[in-house]
Amino acid sequence: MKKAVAKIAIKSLLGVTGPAVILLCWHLYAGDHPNSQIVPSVGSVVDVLLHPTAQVQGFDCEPLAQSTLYSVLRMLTGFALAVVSGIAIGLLMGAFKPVRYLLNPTISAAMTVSPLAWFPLAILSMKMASISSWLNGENLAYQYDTLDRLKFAVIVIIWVGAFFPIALNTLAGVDSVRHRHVEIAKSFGASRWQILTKIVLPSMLPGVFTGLRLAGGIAWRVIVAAEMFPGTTGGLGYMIRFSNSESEPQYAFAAIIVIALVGVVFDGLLRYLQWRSSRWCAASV
Amino acid sequence: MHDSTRLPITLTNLTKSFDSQDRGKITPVKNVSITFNPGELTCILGQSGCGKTTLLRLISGLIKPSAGKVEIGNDQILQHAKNVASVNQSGDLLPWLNVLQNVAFGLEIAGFAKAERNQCALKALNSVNLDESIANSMIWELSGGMRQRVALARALCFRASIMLMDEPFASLDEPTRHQLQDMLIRLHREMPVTTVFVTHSIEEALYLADRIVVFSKGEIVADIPVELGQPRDRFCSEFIGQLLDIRKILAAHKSEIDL
Repeated sequence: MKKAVAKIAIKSLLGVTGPAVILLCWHLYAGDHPNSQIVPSVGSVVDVLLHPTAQVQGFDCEPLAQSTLYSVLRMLTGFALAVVSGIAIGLLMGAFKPVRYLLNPTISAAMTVSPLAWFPLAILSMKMASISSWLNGENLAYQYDTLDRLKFAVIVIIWVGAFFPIALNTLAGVDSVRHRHVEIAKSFGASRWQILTKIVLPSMLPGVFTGLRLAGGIAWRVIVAAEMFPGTTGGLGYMIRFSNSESEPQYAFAAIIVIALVGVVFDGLLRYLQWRSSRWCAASV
Repeated sequence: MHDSTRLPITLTNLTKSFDSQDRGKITPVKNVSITFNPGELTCILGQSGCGKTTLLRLISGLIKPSAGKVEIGNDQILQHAKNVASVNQSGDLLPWLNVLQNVAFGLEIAGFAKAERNQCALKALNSVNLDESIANSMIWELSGGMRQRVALARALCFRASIMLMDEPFASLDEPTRHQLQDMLIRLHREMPVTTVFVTHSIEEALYLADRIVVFSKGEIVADIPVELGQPRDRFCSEFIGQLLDIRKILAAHKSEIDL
């Protein structure tokens, strides 16, 4: 028991050493000058983090909390669409060979292209259309500010980034279904639907979750980059872009820390769900 | 639960051929005709690769014969037979389900309510000498012997008319294997479903079977009734005598068999 506690303590200590060293180096380098134009002081960044709803000083941007909300909502919308479409296409490719032969080369080629490469095309083709303009019409779109921030062009970019790993890992999950398990279900008289829900879906979950975690990381990285492009308003990427150009770097540093924290929380959530649904895979022989 | 009426299995001129990439056309089952009588426990004895497993897959309808037919009762098996339970060497339990869910799986597929199937599953666990306390354990937490018991409980719970067992105890240590053999004999006495048990051990076949069918190179080379009553003693003179008789029969077919 004592050994286990000591082990956890050492692991935790090593885990916080990295951030502590970075923080110390940062403090030694930046000193205590709140108006440094390149590297802000630790204190000024902590101040932004401790007051996430305070108005941004020096340039036009929503407070940190609101910017985070926009980024998270955009990412979750694109990610949710990628989950639904990626799993469906992966399943179809796994179940029907002709669909696999039809789509596999295209998907393999498309996934090598950075999602951001599609952004100019997405902006040109979808312009400023948002979920709000789709639901309420272009003239009334501004009345629903949060929904109006969910521009289709950005959502499509998230979708492009997240779709391929989910589809391909779902396909790998379908391929990993043991034929013998299908035979057992058949010997008990299972229908095709029962084979899908009782055998194929649980068997493929480890593969799907691997894809979800990969896709989650890509989606979060892509959204922050996409928000730096012209044509988007609000969000953490937007905050980073303008805080640097307006010489208020404490906001960029605060946004970077929030990006890292949200990323860790999101990945932790997916990892927990993966563990809940797929622990048999790692543990079983 | 399925009706556990005892049914015969009749194989008529059964043949199965495959096209193998390495070996060309192979025929693991050649023109086999035999009837497994209702309620009888028949052991199919043969070396690895002699076609025993293919024969079981043909009986269960998992693969289609190239020629001939399989009948269970009066029904010809044209696709997956739905009243057949099978247990093989690896148990083939579903690793994402716990023990109780695995045992009740057949009933879940058949559409039974949760309470009813759990009750039946617990009963089946008891009948294979497993404690209810392991009901919520996951499969990877069990030993090899326990897994085989769970697989057997799943087959029992389904109450199939036919039980197909493909070397179910082959990977277990000797004491556990003997324990499970005794348990199988007890269960078969309580619920005598028609059972085809594949093994490569002459001693296991003689200990369990009402009848031993020797299978080699896809064909039946000997059909030996076992005249010993149950329970059997591995060390009594009758058992050893019949063991020697079987060895003599096998020796006579030495050119055809390699056991």
